[in-house]
Amino acid sequence: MTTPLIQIRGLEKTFTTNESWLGQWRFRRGKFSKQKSHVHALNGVDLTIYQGETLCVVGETGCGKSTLARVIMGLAAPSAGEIDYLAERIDHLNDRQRMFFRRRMQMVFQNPYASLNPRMTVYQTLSEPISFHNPLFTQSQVDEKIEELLESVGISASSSNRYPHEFSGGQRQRQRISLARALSVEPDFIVADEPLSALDVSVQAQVLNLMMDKQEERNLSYLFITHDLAVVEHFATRVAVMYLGRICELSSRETLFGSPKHPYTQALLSAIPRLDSNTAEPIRLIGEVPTPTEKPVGCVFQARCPYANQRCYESSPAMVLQTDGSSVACHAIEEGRLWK
Amino acid sequence: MKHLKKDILHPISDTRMSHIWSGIIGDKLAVLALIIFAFYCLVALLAPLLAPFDVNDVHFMDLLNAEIAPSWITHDYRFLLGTDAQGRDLLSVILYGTRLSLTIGICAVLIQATLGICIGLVAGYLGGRIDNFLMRCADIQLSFSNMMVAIVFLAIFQSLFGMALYQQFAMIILILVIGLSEWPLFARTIRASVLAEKQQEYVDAARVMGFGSKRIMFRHILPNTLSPILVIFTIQIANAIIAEAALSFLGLGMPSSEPSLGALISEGFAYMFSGSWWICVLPSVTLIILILAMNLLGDWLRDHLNPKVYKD
Repeated sequence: MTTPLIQIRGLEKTFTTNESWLGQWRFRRGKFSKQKSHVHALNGVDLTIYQGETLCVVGETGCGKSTLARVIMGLAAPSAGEIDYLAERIDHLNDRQRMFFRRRMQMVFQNPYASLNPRMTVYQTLSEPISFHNPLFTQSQVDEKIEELLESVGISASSSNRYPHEFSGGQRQRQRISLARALSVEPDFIVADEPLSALDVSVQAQVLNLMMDKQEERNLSYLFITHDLAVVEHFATRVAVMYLGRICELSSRETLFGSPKHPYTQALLSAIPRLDSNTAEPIRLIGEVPTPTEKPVGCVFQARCPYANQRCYESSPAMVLQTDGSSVACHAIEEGRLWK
Repeated sequence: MKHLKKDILHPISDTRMSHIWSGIIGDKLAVLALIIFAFYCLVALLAPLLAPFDVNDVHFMDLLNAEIAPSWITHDYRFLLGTDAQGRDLLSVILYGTRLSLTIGICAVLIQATLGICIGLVAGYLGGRIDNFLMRCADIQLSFSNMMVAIVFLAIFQSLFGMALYQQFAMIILILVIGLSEWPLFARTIRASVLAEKQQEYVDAARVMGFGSKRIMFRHILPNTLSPILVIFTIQIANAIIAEAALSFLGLGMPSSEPSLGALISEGFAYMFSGSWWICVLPSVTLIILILAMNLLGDWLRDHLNPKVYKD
């Protein structure tokens, strides 16, 4: 539980907007100048994921959650920063060197329709990674393994010759197959990029329970990306709240839901619709979400924060460990301007 | 409990082939086109058995029999469709010509497809500079008329190596020329579908598994882009046969000792106004029916595989 599995330090990712070389030239103030526009998706993320825990990353659309997942999995190269897997640096490896870590880290995707190849049967989908990563396996060993996998995610082995679109169970069955595929190489870390958001609410719970069962069985660690706070409350060990490419609060589930500290977290939590309480008035955030095309100066949340002062506009707050074990990046809390 | 589900499953197992098959049965025009195409293929395959004369026989060409009209005019039942200017039985020559034309068409399109699919996949999947370079090559290739490229190449070859060598390798050279000049059509179509498929999460999933680009391109993306390939494939065969016929008509195709349909038409054209119309018209009709059937099939496939109608 306490061994750090994945350590991320100062991770940054900048996308260059894709313009042709002619489109980069701008006519401004009487002369041509060349400029590219950038999108800063991640601005220095520090995160540690411990063995056997579920770290939920929450935040609004466009705050860099999915980019974080893709950079960790090596689907996109980071612009700066380091990613370590059990104290081995993995972010600069090429495809061949990364192969060992591909087996250890897997990913479950958001859309159960797009994440399975429509031209491959369930058997093909599962057998390909198994025989690819275990070249010495015989055919019967592969078959045995597939049967075992399908059984473990609750799909009968007899349906292994079906194509994904032939499952009448639709989304749920497909997401189970996705999970089976991720588990097929026996990873110990799974990144789940909003695996529930494309599912019906009735199906979400089943898939979530399946994921929790697998975690118990195999001592998996999850990085679970979501914007559904109800899922977080049910599932998370720790929660990281992201805003505009930065982590602004990181704490255990109980602490976060019991006493949220960062102004953004407070606003986020107050927006959960609840049946049982009518006390809290939702905190309204004023202002627009800034577009991440310019690298933010100061605190990322300054434009919408009701407690922002001059210092927030000038310098970016660091993560500070609080007395109850959570860490928060906020000048106002550091200075005690904010009571909570 | 979970396994009970499978009992109430409705297996809607329609794979692409059975989908196409059930569709083709319902469409009379498509059935007709398919039957005609199958007939042509059969005839081409069995030409040596079906032909009433042996084309390799020395007596096959006999000037005494030259320009005999079809049997329904002359009632000379030795030659069902008459004979050409060299006294060859027209039916036998047409059978062999069809065989040649179809072989050239299909082989040329196979070359086109192989080249086009590989280039299109690489350009679409790898993107960036490679994509730019390959697509500009395709643009350059497309900006020349295929006919012009073929004519220039064949003329140069004939003058460099002489007619004798050319006639020996005429078929292979024709296949190569027609095959190499039309790959951009395939490449562009494949690239467009690959660009769309690349966004799908299953490609990311394959990358996360650590599969190499080659495996992802050919095993994962290619099967999902097969519908447009199938359509172009059919129509391109017709185009290749037309191209071969046109080249032969211009005297750059098959030699008259081993005539394809185009070469026959070209030869017969000279006798058109001397009254021997059948030498030109009969091969033309054969060619036109073949092309029409291929085009009908291609059109029907395109309509039927339209993603708006057909999904998964």
